[in-house]
Amino acid sequence: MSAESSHLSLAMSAESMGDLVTSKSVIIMTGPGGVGKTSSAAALAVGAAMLGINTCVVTIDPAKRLADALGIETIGNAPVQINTFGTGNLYAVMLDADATFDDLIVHYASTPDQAAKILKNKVYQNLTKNLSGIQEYMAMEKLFELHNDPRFGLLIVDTPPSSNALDFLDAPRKLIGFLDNKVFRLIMNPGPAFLRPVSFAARAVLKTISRVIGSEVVDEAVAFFQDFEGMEEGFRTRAESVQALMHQDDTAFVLVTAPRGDTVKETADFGIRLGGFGFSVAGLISNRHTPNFKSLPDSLGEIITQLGETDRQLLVENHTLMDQLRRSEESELGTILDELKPPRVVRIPMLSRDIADIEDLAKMAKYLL
Amino acid sequence: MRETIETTTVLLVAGKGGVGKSTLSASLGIAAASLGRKTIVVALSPSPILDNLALSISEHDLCLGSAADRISTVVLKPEEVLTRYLEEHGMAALGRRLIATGVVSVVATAIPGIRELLVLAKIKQIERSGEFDTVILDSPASGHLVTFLSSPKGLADIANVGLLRTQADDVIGLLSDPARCKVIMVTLPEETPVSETLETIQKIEELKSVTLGPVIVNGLIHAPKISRDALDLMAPSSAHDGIVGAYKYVASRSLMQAKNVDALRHSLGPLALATTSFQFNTSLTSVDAKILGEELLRANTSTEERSDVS
Repeated sequence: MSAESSHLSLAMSAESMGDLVTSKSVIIMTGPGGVGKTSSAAALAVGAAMLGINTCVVTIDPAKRLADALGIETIGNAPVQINTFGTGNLYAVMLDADATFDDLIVHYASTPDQAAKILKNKVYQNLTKNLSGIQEYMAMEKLFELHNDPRFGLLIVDTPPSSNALDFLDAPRKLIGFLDNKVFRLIMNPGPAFLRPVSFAARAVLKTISRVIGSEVVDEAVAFFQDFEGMEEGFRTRAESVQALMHQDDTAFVLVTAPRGDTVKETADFGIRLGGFGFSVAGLISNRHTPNFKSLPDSLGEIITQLGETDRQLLVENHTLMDQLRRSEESELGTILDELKPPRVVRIPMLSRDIADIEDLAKMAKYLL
Repeated sequence: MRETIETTTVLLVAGKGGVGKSTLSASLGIAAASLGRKTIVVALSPSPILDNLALSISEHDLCLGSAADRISTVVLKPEEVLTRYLEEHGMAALGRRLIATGVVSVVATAIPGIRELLVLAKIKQIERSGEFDTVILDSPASGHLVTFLSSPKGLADIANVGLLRTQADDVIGLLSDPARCKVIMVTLPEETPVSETLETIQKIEELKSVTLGPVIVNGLIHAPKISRDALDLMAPSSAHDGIVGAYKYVASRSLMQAKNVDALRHSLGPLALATTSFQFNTSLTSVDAKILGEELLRANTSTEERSDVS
């Protein structure tokens, strides 16, 4: 812990996320897996609450300790209020993607019977697990639902770690494409007589698939499309509203990274893809930086003169290694800065222990704000 | 670790994002090839280390020595595996059409784990070809690992007939034979990764479908071994920079890591643990992968033997 507090002064941030939390109403945090994204989102939320902003952080699958630190024990879609030392209220939600999707089905189904049938269907049950980006997209759905809640002035959303963490941007299109599947549509609605042969062809295709995977699965898929009939429009409209929210001026994207070669490359790719979807990167948080131990001559002091030759060599070598590491981290980060030119950049030093409680989050927040 | 490499064909390397899974997959590959085994490193998405390894192999980089002749790399895309599978079963035209019309996406959604199964079926095919002594898979991040490993069982339950059923049964056969396949978990000596690794291990053990090999703890920092006198000399100093600050930082990290490794070792029971050291640079290459591979080969095997008995 002494190391942590001591390096507080070594925080290298030239800028902060301070103006972002005060001026935006939605902050979406994204980045590769294993960079401390969830901790960063939670810390930013704690910091915002300390500034007096009523904040809600939406997390997906947080590590157990972090969930404990936030005081959220179970997965559930209702925001839980957390005690902070701030003047603003802090809430946290641990997203249940499946339940969020279920809620949407119930909402858009024309009858309770239609909803019940869909909820029971195996194709539907696997949709959230198998269609890439759906979990993340459900986080955006949740966001849409929460952004009208008068209790919150700021929503901070943490996207889950996945190899394609930006799939959620594409998920609405994929979901609608999935629901619009022509082969299955044709089987249900053969349409006018001249289209019947197409429908026969579609049936033939499904018959072949049945040979490979068994007919039960195919029947289940056909049943799914029959049950879903009439709901596509509702989903489409909803997806458009969610997209619109993400494109609002008071929504910001923050990238989280760590200064390692592979991670940096992935993060830069994320930033570029975000740009492709018409979003800009409002800030970059880089976690786990090696502290700057300064150059040797300034700090040799009296101690070095009293050290034996072997000890001195070992200690100098250690200092050199740490310095090389810090420089190479800085140069890795430089590649993202050059590529994306994020207006806000915060470097957080390697913390001496994992986030265990709200105080740890508050400490991390100090680097961010 | 040497014994595990020498007695197992397929090693499924697993762990959370950022723990060095891809690097350690390359390390295990180089280690196996250096033992004279014909080796292939398979990944599901490209990674800088795999690209670097492929480059070192093609250029016969000196760091690999003669191992370069015995090691190769490949990136498998689940979608391509599916098309190839259909082609091999005389359904090439159908395959293309199914994908173009989105039927595959619908059907794949109806069948949990079909993509995972196809990847594992491909691994099984590589193993069965007899072309390689060691097949290393840089597996999906551990969040998906349990789905990945339970997919054949789930599929065998759903698809009670057809080609898929046969594939599922074959993959179950591969996973359940410890001489053919083991899971190697990779983690970091930090609190959260250690506790998450233990959770994943418990889930994998509950599946009872696959054997766990030694767990690799990657990124271990070793504080310089200085004399007692030097420690005493530095103890009163409150310096946060210079050689004293750098030493204190490394020493406190190394102490924290040692505690986490002990906790992991204690909880693992009969499972062996191998450690690899932290590399002081940010973009690892085949040279680093080779160093880590050598560390793995040197890793104590006494506990490893115990794990094979249990």
